[in-house]
Amino acid sequence: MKLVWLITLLACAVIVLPASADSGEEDRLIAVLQSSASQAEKEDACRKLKQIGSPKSVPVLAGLLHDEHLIQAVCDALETMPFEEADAALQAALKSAIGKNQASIIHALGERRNPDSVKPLAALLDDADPLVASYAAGALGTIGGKEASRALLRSLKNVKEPVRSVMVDALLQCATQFHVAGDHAAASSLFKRFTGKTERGQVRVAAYAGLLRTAGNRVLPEILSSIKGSDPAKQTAALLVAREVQGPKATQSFTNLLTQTPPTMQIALLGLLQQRGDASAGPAALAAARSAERDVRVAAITALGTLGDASAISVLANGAASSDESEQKAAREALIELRLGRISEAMVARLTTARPEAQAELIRALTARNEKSAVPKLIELAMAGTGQASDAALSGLDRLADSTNLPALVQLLVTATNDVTLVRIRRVFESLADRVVGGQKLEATPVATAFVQADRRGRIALLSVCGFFPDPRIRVLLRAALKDSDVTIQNAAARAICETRDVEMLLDLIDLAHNSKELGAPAFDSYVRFVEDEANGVVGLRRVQLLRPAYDLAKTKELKWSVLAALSGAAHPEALDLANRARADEATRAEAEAASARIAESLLAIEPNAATAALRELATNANSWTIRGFAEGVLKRFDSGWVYAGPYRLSGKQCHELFDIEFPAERRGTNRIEWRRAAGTVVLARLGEVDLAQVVGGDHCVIYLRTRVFVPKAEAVTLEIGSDDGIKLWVNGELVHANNAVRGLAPAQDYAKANLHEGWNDLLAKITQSTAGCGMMLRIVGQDGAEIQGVKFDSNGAQ
Amino acid sequence: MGFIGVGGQGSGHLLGGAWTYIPGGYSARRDVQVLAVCDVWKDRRETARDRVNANYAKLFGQGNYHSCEAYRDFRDVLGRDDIDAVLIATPIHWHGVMTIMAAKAGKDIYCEKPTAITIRESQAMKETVLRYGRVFQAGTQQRSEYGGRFRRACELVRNGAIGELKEIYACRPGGTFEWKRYGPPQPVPVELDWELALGPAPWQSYGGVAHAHMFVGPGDINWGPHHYDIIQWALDADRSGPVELFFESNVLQYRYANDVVVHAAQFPGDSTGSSGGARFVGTNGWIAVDREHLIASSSAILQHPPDPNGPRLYRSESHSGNFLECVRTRKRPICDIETAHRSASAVLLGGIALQLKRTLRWSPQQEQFVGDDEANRLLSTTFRTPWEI
Repeated sequence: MKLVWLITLLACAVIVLPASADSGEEDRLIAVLQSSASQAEKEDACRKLKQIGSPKSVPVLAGLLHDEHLIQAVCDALETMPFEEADAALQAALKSAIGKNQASIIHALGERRNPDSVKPLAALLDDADPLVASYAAGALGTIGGKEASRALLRSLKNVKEPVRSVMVDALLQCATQFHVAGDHAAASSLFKRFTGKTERGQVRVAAYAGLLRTAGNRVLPEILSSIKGSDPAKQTAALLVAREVQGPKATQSFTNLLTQTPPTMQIALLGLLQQRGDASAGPAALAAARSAERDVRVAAITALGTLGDASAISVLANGAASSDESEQKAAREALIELRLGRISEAMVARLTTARPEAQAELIRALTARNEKSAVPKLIELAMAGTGQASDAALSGLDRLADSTNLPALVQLLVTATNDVTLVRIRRVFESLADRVVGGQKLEATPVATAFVQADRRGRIALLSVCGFFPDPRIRVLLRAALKDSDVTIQNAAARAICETRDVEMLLDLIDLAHNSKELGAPAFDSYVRFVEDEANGVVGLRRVQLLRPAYDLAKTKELKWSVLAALSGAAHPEALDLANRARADEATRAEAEAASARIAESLLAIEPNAATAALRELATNANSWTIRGFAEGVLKRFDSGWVYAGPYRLSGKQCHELFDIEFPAERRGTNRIEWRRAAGTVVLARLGEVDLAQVVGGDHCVIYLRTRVFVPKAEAVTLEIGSDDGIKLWVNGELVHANNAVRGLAPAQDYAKANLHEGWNDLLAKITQSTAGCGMMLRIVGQDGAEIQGVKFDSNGAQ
Repeated sequence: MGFIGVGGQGSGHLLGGAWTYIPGGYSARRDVQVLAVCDVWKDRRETARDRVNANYAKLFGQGNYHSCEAYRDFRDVLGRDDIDAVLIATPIHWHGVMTIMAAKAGKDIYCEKPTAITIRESQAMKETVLRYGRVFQAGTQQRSEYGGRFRRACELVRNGAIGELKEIYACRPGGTFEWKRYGPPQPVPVELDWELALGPAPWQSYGGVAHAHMFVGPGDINWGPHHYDIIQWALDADRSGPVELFFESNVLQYRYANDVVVHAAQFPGDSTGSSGGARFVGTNGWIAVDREHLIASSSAILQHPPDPNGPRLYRSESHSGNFLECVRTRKRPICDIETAHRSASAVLLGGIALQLKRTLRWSPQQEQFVGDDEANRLLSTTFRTPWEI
């Protein structure tokens, strides 16, 4: 089953056709603009001319600048044409246009950034229409330069809101451009004008930031002075520009401010220093981490993650053990982030002396840092007994230990002094086994060797991990232990078999299920879970073969249910047979029907005939109405109601070249075509989809789809069409839609109109295939977009 | 804060929900107060308002809490002096205009992806946000969320865990917008302000469609931003971009200045990376990452020890939390405007290549196609007056 995003992904696969250079294309587009074509057609022509138009398009486009419906598309085309005819046309039109059209032309001139446009635009700054004046100001800000800024300043004196704000923004843009061009005097002169307290706060921030950027050698003292001051706009601007001032001197200066500013600013400065990443600020951040102000401490601890070295470990470990949630979170993250110096060695060394709570946090950090060199120390701590550090060490070993540590872990296991520790150590082994991937297995030698030498307690401990080792020596050992004269040893071996990860032990497991009074039920559970677990690779027929004896062995209905649940994941016809057998028993009928339905659904892709037969039978005979409905639903969605013919290919022809070639299925009177049922989709969200991905068999071909559609009365309809890739659609023999597209499938990508007769109508679709997915979606609605009641698709309708 | 657009994505941010990565949404946080919600759909904005007020009534034990207001027109939200920041989760053609207007109004901004529909729009957003010193966070949350999986992958790549990076499988192409038309005309629902829904887009009668993706065009401008944001991060290209776009076997490819080639396709035979990720292939192995997976050609690659002197990437464990922290401290957020601009550019450049279907050379410094007037014409689009960037 495909996920929706996967379909989207395929739909978006980058499939391209070579660009075609058509020299007559521009003439054709110009003709469209000069014709009585619809607005939509003219807009499309403008968009194409935006890309390919030459100076000969300009007069025609300019002639449409008065058209309020086309102005946006025309300006879009002219705005980016790389020749001066476009400037001249827009400037000429500026004089006669009014209102929104004039504003649009002004904007286009601004985007073209031609200094020759400054004068005519400046003349509009005092226009009575605030829209025109605002657009003129915005355009002048975009063009920039001294003439533009002078004009803006002249008009600024008498202007009112909302135009004033636009003019101020335009002047700030001009100032920025002066700065970028190296004219700092002109830039700072402009910025200075907008620092007054009567200006809006954000304007003052922008102006101060601009002033600082143009301050040259004075930038650092100016920033420091602003930060130490009390004007929020100056402080905000200073913090912004401080990020841009490089060098150790600046870092030192900002660091020094930490002791001269209030807590709120300290927090901002610590953030600034962290993002500068200069380790010279580390000691100051470490000092701030001891601040009496909690939020300052949190900011400092966060900064230490980047700026700190081994000297920060102690403070951070204590912070991580803090009862304050924010401080603890920041310190834990910082301990993981620390990089400067030999952090891991220092952390491991610190483990010896830290208090238990801090020890636990250090272990947590070492674990998150994936620091395998810590494993010997963790084993040492784990051996030391119980307590927070020992617990943390065992948790760390869960993640960090690998097979090279097995001898030491075995030693830890056999010397464990209490059952609680034993359980924790056993979990480390389990975690090791969980992390074994790709057909590899744990090396069993340390366990097998230790078992020979161990005393009774040691053997029991070792047996508790034997299930994690799929190894012939362990098999021998377990089978022998099952027959040991010591009942405790026997039981330990039986429990290990219940946890086996060894497919060769499955017979032992089923024997145990059959024969053991105490462990029969867990052994049965374990057997079924092993078979059910996809990671063990027991799929298809093999799964059925292993579950059949389990089903026969199951003494209670609950055990039979668990087998049927495992069986439902087996996509094989024999799984259906077993499930059907279970349907005869009243006690297992409901679970067996559910299993049959799921097996049949998963079989649809590989054994469609057997699967559809099973689903039909369930839809008719299932005892549960839920299962009947489920089966009906799957069948309905799977059967698209269409039949297909093809694929058709022609050597050397690409998808788009096949679009207009007539293949046999398209010719009237051709009746020797083999039409096959076309699959739908079981994805509810994509009802109405015909999925052709499985039948195209490669790239660059054509598939035909045919069906009959019933409507209760004659009606003019809208066809909502989606296709992957191109589509032609005939209704009752008449071509109603053609789109030689290369695209992914989505609903309603195209629309077409058609007239349907009362009763059954013939539909034929031709789908072209480029690469990746292939399919069609078709929905028929009334011309008002409403659903039509009683519509039916059936390829054999009334025949 | 004010929330502009409270459909699926916006209400997820606001209120949480099964799909979202923000449990309970912003309205469950103690470090921010939502004062305004805005949508062109009456029922959406009123539902969102009522739910926010109900959440706060419960959170603060004030049964008659009603300080969150519902707005039809986002300009009324931007006009409020008591709102410091806005979250924009509108249809994509609005993102640039609203971001620029919000920055000029002195608001900090969280903007959903795709942040822009043209490169010129993205540049204007960057210039305005920087001019006014606003905090901007792009809604490409993968840098923060999903258990740090993407950060880890990019840091491993940047620190040489797979040797020299040679190729990247982006899983999806870039993309672009398209002024689609919907029809036939239908009566405008009384709940909807159609004029404001269309906004900068060309005028058309209401045709039954008014959703976030109504102007999504060829390629993948919707999911592409997630993929290319991570690729840019791994490539250390947050202030740069590709230098060439070309096609090989009909598949779009990007080449960066360090000769790394990004294939706008999945790695053959493996879908890992499809949910927002990529596969990075180096001289010593590969790493594939997406929202659910972080895998490599060998386990040793994932255990590659951090180089004390190697590159370290911005650490954020909560995209919304990082935004709010930066609003308070004026720090640079993880997906700041310059990062967002370059990630958006990578996507949009791909969209232009898909339109022109030929090799393009791009200057990341000049932000122009090199010697290619035809391609440069496609860097911008004109919006409907009075909505300008």
